[in-house]
Amino acid sequence: MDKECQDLTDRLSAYLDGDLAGDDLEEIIKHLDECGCCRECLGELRQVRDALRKMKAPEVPAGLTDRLKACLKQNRNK
Amino acid sequence: MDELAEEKRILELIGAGDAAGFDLLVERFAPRLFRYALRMCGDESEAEDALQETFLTVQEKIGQFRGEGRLRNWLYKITGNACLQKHRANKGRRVTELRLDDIMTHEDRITEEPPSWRLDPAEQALSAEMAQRLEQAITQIPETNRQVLILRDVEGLSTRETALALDITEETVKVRLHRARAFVRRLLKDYFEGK
Repeated sequence: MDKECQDLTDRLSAYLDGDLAGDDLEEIIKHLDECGCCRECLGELRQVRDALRKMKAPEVPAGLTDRLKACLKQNRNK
Repeated sequence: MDELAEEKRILELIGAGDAAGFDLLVERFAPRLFRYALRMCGDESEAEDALQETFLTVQEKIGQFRGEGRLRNWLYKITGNACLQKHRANKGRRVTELRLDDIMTHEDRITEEPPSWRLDPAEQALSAEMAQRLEQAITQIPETNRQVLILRDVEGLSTRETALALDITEETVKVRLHRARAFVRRLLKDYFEGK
């Protein structure tokens, strides 16, 4: 990873998410066109992001909402 | 009823002093806030404690919510703070943030051609093992980066919503998110490569 890659690496995820515009966007498109290392990195980041988006929601403990409601009620009646 | 309309209804009930407003608030938001807290704390009991603190804070400070943003984002902000406070209290550790060096493997520094990931992550994401590895990886991300990753990639907030929920700039959200993803990438590199 050379100096230019290091300067641009923090913007790779923003590029992946469509969160870049103007000069920042142009600069990274140009760099990706020339740098296989960053293209590889971008692909891996996409895999991580997509996997995270597919994670199942963990189960919520039974009775959680009832316990929270009771706690708020008790606090209200103090 | 859509989420925005529901938030409005909850605020109206609470504003009118109707206790049903808080019941509705808990029913509507507790499950998703619990999931956020669980991934932040990494422990079910600690997450439930943080959530209890969250709703007590909300009950006390709901008058300060000015309604300029989403109630949901304000709740994420309070939950995140409760989790960080628990973390500091329980672990006696300072909240940390990833630096660029933390996300670069040794190989990244010395070669221009890192190895390709061989397996299809879309399929891996559906496997129990992959899900477990991801959950474990999330708990290892430093807290400030972890918050951003969970809100953006797991909970699905936009960059702007995440910035508002965490009181940070959108630029900071982008940098923290990138470093968190890169950190997970580094932790799971062997797995993705099929080693």
